[in-house]
Amino acid sequence: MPWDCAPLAPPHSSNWTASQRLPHKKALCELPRWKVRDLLTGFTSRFARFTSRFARFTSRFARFTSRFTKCMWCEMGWRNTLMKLPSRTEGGLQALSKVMAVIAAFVLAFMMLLTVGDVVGRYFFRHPIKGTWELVGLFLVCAGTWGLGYCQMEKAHISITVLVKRFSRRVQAITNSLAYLIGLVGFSLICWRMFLMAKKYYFLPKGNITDTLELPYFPFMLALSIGAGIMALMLVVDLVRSLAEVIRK
Amino acid sequence: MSPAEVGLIGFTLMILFIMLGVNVAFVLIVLGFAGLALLMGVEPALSSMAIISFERASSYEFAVAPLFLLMSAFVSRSDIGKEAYVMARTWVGQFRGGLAMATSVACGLFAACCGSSLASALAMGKIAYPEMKRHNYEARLSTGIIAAGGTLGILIPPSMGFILIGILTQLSIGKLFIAGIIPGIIEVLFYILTVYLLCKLRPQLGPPSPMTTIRQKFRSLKTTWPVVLLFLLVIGGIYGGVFTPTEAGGIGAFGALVISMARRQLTPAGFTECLLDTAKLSAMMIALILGAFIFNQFLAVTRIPFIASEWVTGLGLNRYVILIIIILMYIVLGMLFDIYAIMVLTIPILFPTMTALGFHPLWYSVIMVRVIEVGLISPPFGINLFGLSGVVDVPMGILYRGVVPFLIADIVHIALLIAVPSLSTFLPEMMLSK
Repeated sequence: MPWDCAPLAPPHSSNWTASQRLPHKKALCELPRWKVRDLLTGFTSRFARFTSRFARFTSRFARFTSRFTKCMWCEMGWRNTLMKLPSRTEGGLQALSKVMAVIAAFVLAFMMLLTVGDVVGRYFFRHPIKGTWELVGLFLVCAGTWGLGYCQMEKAHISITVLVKRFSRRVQAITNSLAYLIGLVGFSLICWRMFLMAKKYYFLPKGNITDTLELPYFPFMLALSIGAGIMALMLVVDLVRSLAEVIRK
Repeated sequence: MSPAEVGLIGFTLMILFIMLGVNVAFVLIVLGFAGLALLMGVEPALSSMAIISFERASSYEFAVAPLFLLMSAFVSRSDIGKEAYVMARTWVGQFRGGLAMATSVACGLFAACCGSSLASALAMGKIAYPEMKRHNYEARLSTGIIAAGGTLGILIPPSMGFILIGILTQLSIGKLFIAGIIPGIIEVLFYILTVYLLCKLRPQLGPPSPMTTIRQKFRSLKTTWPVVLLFLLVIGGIYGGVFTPTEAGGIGAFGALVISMARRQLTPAGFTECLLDTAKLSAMMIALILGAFIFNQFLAVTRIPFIASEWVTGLGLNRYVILIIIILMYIVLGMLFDIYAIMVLTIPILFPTMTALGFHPLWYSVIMVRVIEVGLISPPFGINLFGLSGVVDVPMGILYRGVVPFLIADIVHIALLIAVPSLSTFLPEMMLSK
């Protein structure tokens, strides 16, 4: 008999309703109308609250900065405002290079833990960490080169100052500018070429991954490029500063 | 211009710039690149520079340097040097000049965890000098032994000097470390002997301190054994081929961290500071290494190392005469330059020459490190002396005079090492690993 058999499910969907599929979440159309309205108003009110807070924050921020810039523009004039710009950039760059050095330092600590874990795993659990050899080498790029800018900031790069110390301050400023210029050339070349190399390796169809872990090389090349780049930026700052000292008198 | 001429011009310019105070790494990178560009064309020079940079910055072998630097940083931050000094003092303090002897022993122990010469001298200057002053030691003796003992830092493994030699010459860093052990111990003994003789001649230099009992002596060992154990673990592991020098560096740094954390000598802030210091120093090292390898590539293209070694072997001089000339040159360089700078500048040319003359590479490395150490403490420019004068309140003149007896001991020590090469080569040849 035709009424004995179960009705066939419509071909375009399963015979489960939305409420059965997700018992805790009802479809919007299944809810009573008052509930829908409630939900919608709740959402809009939350949205409104958020936008108003955001607007308040931005306006406060704008007022704060405008007061600041207005003061700078009025009292110092645009010339001095421009003069202030390098020192602000310098502060930002110094903060950046310090942050990068901290990252490098923690990568270094991680390298230490990795080698210890590898040795302990190899001799005590017969289960070395796979690819430690590669990882340590690749992390070294970050650990070694991201501290370059900080190293320059602290003037820790080796130089022989026995002779130069006897010169006058002005001559010292000249030799310093020479040093920073030479360093700037070197590190900006390295930064640029490492970036090109990373780009090349990124588009390389084969042979751009390490042997064991099959990690791509290009992020680490990019890391080297960034490390050399921050070094070059710090050198620009130092160069400007020492040139200013040369010109001052 | 022939390649050799370009190379010579490059070399002269390099010396000129370095004397003008331009940072060594910058000079090496730029001059190496400029030379390569002249000889090979700009584009190949640029790409070879990039390839060399990435290859060196990502080499597993080089990771040994930051890891041992980290270990040195942890050790310098904690009280390990002080404990070593206290231990040595209770054992030999009752002799005449005992505190000075103790300083030399403690320097040896400290050097066994720390790879830098100046850091050792500074640490010991802060610890041992006030103690010796309190016991009425003459400043001449106390500062002399501290400056001289500090130089043990780069002879006794782990040593940054040997690491740099290993990276630059492809010698095994493990073997170089092991080669430094016996000469280092003999150096400590020489310094003790010097102090003994000095105090025999002039008893007022170092009066003895009160006797300590056997019980106190053994109790003092309680604080020092973890450090000795760490040293034995690190060096024994390298010696037995249990792990590579890089792994040894990781274990050493971790061990130093655990020891100083367990004794609450290292706060989290101190830990971060150590890490930051190490990041700074390893950036310095890596810049130097990159420069060295780019410049070496340039030198290799000009064939100057080959020409130099051919010229020297063709001179027909006795090879020991050449060795003595080179030693004198290193002493002069050691007065003016930093040890890393000297190595980076001289090894590419001199090392092939010396091996061509038939000297054992390990033995020559030990002699080189030892001689640069002498330069570091020789007046009037010795870097260790300048560093030390910042820590102790003694005029430079007394520092200069105080260090003279130890310089004589150093020269005798070097003569001994030259006369008996097996002192440096015996242990590495016995090594189990390759």
